[in-house]
Amino acid sequence: MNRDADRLPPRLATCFLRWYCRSELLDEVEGDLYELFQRRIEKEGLQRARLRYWLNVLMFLHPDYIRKRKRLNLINHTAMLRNYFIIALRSILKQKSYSLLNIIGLSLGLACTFLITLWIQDEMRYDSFHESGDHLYRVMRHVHSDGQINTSNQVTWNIGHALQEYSEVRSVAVTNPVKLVMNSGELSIREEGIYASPGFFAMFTWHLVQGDPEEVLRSPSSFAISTSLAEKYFGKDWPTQAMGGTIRDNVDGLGDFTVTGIFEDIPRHSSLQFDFVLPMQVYESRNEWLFNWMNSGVRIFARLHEGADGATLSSRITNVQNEHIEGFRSDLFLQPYTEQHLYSGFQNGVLTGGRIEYVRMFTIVALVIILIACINFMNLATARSMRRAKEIGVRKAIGAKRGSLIVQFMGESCLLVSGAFV
Amino acid sequence: MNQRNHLGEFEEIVLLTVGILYDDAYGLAITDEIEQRTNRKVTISSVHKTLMRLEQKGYLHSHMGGATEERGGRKKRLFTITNSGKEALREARQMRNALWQAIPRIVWGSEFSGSID
Repeated sequence: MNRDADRLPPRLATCFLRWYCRSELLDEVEGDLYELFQRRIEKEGLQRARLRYWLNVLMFLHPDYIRKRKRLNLINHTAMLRNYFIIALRSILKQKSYSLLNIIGLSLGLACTFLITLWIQDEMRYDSFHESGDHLYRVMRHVHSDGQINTSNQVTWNIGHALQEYSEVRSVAVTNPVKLVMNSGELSIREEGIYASPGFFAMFTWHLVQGDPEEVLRSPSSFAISTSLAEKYFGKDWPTQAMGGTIRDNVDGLGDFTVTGIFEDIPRHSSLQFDFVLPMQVYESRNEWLFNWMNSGVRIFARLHEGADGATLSSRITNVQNEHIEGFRSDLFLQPYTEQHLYSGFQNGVLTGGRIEYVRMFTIVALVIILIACINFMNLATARSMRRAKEIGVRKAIGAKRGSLIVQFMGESCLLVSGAFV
Repeated sequence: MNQRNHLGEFEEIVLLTVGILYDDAYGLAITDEIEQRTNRKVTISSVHKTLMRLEQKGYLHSHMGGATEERGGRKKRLFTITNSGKEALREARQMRNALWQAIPRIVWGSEFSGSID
């Protein structure tokens, strides 16, 4: 007979059978079911055979077949447990201040640890939602001047073009934050957004509700807005009204824009925050200074091809800007996009941490707190255990076993802990 | 006929089947045999339960047989009819015959002739 794993009856069912079935009957029942199962595989296929096996196992659930538990013991057990429970409650209530202290101490410790854990999880989630996240980098630079090294994410516009020469780079997005007073109908409100080059939507995972990621920023008069902004300016019917609608900028004189894309509101866990996106062209056409290698002011992001190594490329681009400038040094490098939130502290050109320091610190704090809470709890419990010596003595004299005493006092502690937990 | 000796219908069938299978009467084989001969669907568990009940009543005797590969190395429990089992079957049959014979011939009309044995 073929004894492949496939041909064995469902393990769980067999375990269940073994668990409940009286041992003197188990062999024959299991054997019969096994034989039946093998036969059914041939006749009805594996699926049905497995199902029928389960049904058979369940059908044997009959008092005659179920292992006899020691009845007397069982009754005693529930009574004893109830007694333990009552005694535990009584001793908690008897020494209110002690119990309160103990519970509060533990619950504070637990609460702090939970909060810190939540916060850390929150911090860790930053910028992790981009599908191409592992291949995204931001261009940074170390500026050497006056014997100091300053690190900045504002770089020269020209680098965007220079980067595209490298084979590792799949796409580049040039961006710059912007604040704009927008007019649509009667509303004119100051909003925060960014300028971005056309590749922006294809590179990052901003979920476009309407519009094509490749086309959104193609035309100089195009304009992408978030859903909440769309609702603000175009009302409840924005899904039908907003696309193609007009938004005007009066203050800066940028003119009229046509809404070409609507994206879901930017998640809170994003380092880039914006409510609208304007084509970079608009900015470029009004700011000639951008094209000078000596000037910096835009944020550049690059997406590398799969398998390309960001660190190698980072070391290769160091001097891209230096070749074009005089009087100071500006060493370029790439930082993984997902690291920018936690690792943004640079001192003299060396990464010194950033928020990750807080994360690490609070991790340690959390560990220490929970440790102290545990020690405190243990300490109080042991110190108090002497008081219960008499009770233990009586229990022992009546015939309690070591095990049952352990169960009792462990249970009592658990009760305290669960009280603290809540 | 007192209550102790009473054989249920299914019990009787199982007991008879054990007799048919003679030296290879174990749960699954009995189930198969009953299904084949009576054309009804029988579950293995109900047969098992009946076997156990019959053994408690003393109509069956059982011993563990050898383990075979086709049962995944599990032993089978082989049943044989005890003398009191045979007695019970005989009694059941006699009782049935007596009842048959007590039926007036007119009931059967012309379809039936002869007696059952």
